[in-house]
Amino acid sequence: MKTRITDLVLDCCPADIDIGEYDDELATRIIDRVQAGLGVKNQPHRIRKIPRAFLIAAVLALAFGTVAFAIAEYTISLRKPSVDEGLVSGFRYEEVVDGKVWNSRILAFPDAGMVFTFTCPEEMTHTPEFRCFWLPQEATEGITDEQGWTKRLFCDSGDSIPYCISTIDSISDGLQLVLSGDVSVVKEERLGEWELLEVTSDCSKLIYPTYDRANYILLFQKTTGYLVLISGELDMDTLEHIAYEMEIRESGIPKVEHTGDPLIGTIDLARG
Amino acid sequence: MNEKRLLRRLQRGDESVLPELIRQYSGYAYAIASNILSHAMGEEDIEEVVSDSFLSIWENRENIETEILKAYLAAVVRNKAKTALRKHHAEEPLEDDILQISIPNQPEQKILLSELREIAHDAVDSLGEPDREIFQRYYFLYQKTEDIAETLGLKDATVRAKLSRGRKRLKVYLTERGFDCEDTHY
Repeated sequence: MKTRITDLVLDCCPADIDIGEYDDELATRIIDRVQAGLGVKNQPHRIRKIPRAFLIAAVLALAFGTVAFAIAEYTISLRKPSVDEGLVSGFRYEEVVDGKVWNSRILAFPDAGMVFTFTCPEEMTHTPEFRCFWLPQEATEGITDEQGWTKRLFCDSGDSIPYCISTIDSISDGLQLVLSGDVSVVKEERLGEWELLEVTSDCSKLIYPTYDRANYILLFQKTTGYLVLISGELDMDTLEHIAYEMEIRESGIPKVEHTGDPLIGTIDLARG
Repeated sequence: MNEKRLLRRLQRGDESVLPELIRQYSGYAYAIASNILSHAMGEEDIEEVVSDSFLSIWENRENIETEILKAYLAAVVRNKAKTALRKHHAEEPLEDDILQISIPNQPEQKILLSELREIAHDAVDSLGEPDREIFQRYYFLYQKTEDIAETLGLKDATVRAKLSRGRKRLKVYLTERGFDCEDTHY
């Protein structure tokens, strides 16, 4: 029989050899072609998949230019407090009167390194929940249902906090969330309906340092105001891995109602 | 993004991975397709083959068993490109590619081909460097000898000589394992 060497070496792909160069225009054309192919072959499949995972759907929307609906969006913005600004301060809700939570105390944050501010076109009615398909190590705290859905997973290895994943359920118009330390933005991406923010905080110079550095990934969905925080002392790449292997959906648990002035709170590695 | 992570997302059916996959590997995939097809087809057709390859990977994502996505993609691109060549009734680009192997006619030929590939894999692995890389660049990635020479800082004649040694090594491996073979032409 006649055979080709090129066929015999089909299993001999050189993983360590790269050929070809990245060409943005070529990549865009290929994406367009694949999109067209999917449009013909897989459209029902895509539509079915979208409600399954918010994150996946969000990335799809960016990647394939899915039609954007003209709806009011929740927003997240971030700023580094300037030296002239003085203490970052604001109200914190503490009192419950007739079933409603009232802001009653001004809190100040001398170590504030980054402030995340939210706008909400309307009050959130429900809060999100998530489930993870991959974790670098087993969580030590956090209760999941049979399908793995939860609102918080926490891992404490004893001498460090590898990760903490939690939903932030108090998003309201004007809310400020303060992150302490010397904070810098690692990545800021808009993924369809989602904002993905990666920030790292050098905590060594905090007044009460408990760890040297903490990494944070904020996943914020613009159409619902859902915020999921993935934080930890693990490297950002590992935290990002968690983010890409998780699914987020509405929990059915109503958001805590509050009233009064815009709130302030903190983002903390150990607490979420 | 990390290749294994891309692979996991692909296997899970995360459609958003496709643009990332394409951005990461389109240059690589196009280069392989172009090496195989450029003598017979234009850029537009080559891009079509590359696009079909990514679509095929998506559609067969549940059957992907490899842990090396890049290798899987390369194999898909090669197959798609070869199919395109056949449709265009065009010749394969490499002339020194044919082996005549004595195999008794039997229904297990597919199994034999699998065994031959394992032997070829071992033979390629046994080559020292840079012979292994040259052999893989030429026979797997279809790079021209002059391009390999330029990339590796060697003379074209040196690359050809090393390819010849690689073919001899492959034949020795096959012969030692009971397959008589010789160079030939279609």
